[in-house]
Amino acid sequence: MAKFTISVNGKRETVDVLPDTPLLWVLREQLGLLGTKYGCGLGGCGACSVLMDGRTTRSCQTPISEVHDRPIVTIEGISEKGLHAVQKAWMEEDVPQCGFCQTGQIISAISLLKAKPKPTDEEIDEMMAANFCRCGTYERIRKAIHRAAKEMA
Amino acid sequence: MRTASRRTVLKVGAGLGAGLVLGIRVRGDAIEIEKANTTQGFLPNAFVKIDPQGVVTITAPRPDMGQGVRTSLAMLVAEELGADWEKVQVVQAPGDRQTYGGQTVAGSGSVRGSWGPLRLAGATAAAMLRAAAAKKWGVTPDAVTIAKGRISSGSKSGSFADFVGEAARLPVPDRSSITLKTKDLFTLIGKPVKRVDNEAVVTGKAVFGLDVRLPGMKTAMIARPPAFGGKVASFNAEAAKAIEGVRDVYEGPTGVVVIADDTWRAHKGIEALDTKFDAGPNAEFNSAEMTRRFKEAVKPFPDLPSGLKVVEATYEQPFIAHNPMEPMNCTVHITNDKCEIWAPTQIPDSVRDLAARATGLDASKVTVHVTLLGGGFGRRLSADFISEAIGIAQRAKTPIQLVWTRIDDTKHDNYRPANYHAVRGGVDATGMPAAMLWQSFEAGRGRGRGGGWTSLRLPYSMSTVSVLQEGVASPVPTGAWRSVEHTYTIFVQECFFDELCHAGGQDPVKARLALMTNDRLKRTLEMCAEKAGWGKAMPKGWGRGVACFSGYGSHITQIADVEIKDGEIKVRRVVAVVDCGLAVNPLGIEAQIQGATMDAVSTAIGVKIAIQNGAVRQQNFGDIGWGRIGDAPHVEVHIIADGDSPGGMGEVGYPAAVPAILNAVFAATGQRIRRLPAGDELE
Repeated sequence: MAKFTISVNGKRETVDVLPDTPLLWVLREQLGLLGTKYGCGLGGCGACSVLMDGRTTRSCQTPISEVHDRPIVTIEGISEKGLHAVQKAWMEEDVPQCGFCQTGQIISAISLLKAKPKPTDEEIDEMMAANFCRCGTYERIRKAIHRAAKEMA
Repeated sequence: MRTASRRTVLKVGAGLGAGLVLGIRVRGDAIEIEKANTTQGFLPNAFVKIDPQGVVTITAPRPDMGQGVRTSLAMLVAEELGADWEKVQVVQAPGDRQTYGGQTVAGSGSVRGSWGPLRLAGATAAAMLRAAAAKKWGVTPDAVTIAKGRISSGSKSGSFADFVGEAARLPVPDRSSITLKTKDLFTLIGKPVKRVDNEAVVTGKAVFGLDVRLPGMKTAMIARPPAFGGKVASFNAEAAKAIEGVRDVYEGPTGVVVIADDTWRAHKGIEALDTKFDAGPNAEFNSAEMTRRFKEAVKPFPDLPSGLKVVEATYEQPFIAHNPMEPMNCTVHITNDKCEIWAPTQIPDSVRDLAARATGLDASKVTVHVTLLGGGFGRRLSADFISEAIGIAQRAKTPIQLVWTRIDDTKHDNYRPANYHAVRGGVDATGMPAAMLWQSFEAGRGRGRGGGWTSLRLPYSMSTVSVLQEGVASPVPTGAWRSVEHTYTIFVQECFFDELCHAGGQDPVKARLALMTNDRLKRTLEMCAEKAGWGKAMPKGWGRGVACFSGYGSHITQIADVEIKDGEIKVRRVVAVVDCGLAVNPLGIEAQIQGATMDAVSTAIGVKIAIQNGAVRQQNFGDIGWGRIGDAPHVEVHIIADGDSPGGMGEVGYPAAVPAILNAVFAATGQRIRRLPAGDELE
């Protein structure tokens, strides 16, 4: 066990865990930030996505020992000052079915819109490819990203 | 719609005075409405609660796995009650058949099964509020109306809060005195209504099974023998126990259990075990052997009527896993006199029974909390993971959460059975499909009804139609997968019908319309052909295919457009026309058709579970073949809803979408793919 201090949603947090503990489990089980989900454990589904240094990162593939002082933002941090435009768009388009993957989808969509403020369907398909939705909500995800893009323009 | 987590509602409800709480008891066909003890504040064992402040809380009796029943079922109550939907709160019923009736979510039956009882519950509460207002205003109850949470009569008007105290003192009116709204009076049912849980989901506050955290809770994981029928040969308990925070290691009924302070250390413990397994009696079994057994089971066909042009084909589908997004998990806390379970389950009432049996406690001492389900698709109709968790909690004495990895989920499912079909049919002198003889084999027990050939009901009028259904021995555990046997019967029926059409030189839509016996299905086909532009020329490399399905009380036609690009099948558009009788929530219906269509895209083209050395070869999402956003077609959904009661919806969008895609691949390429997944077969 070892102590690590990380910055999550603007707060400094110190945890005492095994050094190879993935950030995912630190967020969920040490810090109680349960919006970040476990889906595959291999970085293959995107349910565990968080923003690290502003970029989409698979928290299940990020050992706590490699986080250092890079700021982490989780889904909880996205809506601290009210719902984000992407979250609102997700609700407006009624995207969620089971909902389990959607926090990861939203994190990836926020990253995408930062890189491409007006994405085409093809760009959405390419940049959201790492996020799996078993319910098949993809069509509404595309619509919600377009809606958020308009809102944020 | 205000969404309130269960915790919020409990806080709101605690310590309240009198309110109106109506419960429903379903005994056989009888539905009884009972008034709960209103001197207690929050009573979750009821469908409708109106607290003294007028806040309406509706209990969803059945679990939500993404099919949206927490929304659609609450709509049924709110419609009849006349509640202001924006202010309604929805809470989830615990597993309790006596109070809530059957709670299983399967067979696209939730809305159909609750259509009567939940509207009656709402209407009964409304009748009591109207009676209370009538008494105060000196008018007859008929002169009182309720809409959007306001009770009014002429110039008089009041809120639910104004009358709930009086209403709670009235006797529950007899069922025969309650009139349910006719369809033309609906103000909520039939409108596009968004999910009640949307805000909780997008903010990460929604509570799934894995999000249950209890004080002192430990995490358990299990190293299971990968081969079906395999056994644990050896494991290094000491190595696992050497990891700080690993609390217990032992061999349980399904594998080696590691209990640790958190999930990562449980996972490390499992790795440290270095468990060795005996593959057991099925070590030689693989997918090729399954196919060989299927082929061996095929029998000689009876004679077809003479004079037909004969068409023969065989079809095959592999095993597939459910792979819901949230891995299997269950949280259990057992003390001397009670058992508490938190589970994402499709069978909460049955879980209570099995927990009572397993613990020896009376069912009244067992509480089954139902969390949101991160997907179901039939996987959570099995309680294997719940039984494991109960067993571990009995030993652990502390609250435990059993967590399956994705690899556990992939390798230890109850799979959709592999299936194989030998079909012989014929077209008559006019070129029309006239006969179909069908031998249908399913891995495992099968669905045979006593063996031999029996008549088969197709939606098409043909002179000879018979089926022979048998199970073929397999060590692979199987279970229900979204739309169950229709996943393959409609694939075969609609692909083979297409083959007959082409053999007879018939247009697949025109031939279907000529022979179709169900008018509702026929109407979906006519409308779908028009919406999809059936018959219009397609670019080179593109193809269009059609298929139809009646089931679960609904009827659907789907027309798929595919493009073959760089040797891959890309489904570009699927037009669906569904007749569901009455549409409760059009937004939910569209979502179910879109999702089921995506399931069809994945399983028609990419998904398979292969068996090798008696075990599943696939590991994780990367090698199973589920489609991603780039594989998702544009799905256009048109709803016909001019009936008086709703048909099922959760499974309706799957069966015909697979053959529509395969028929489109034929139209694009001339290659008839009869073995799935098609991505492996495309030349």
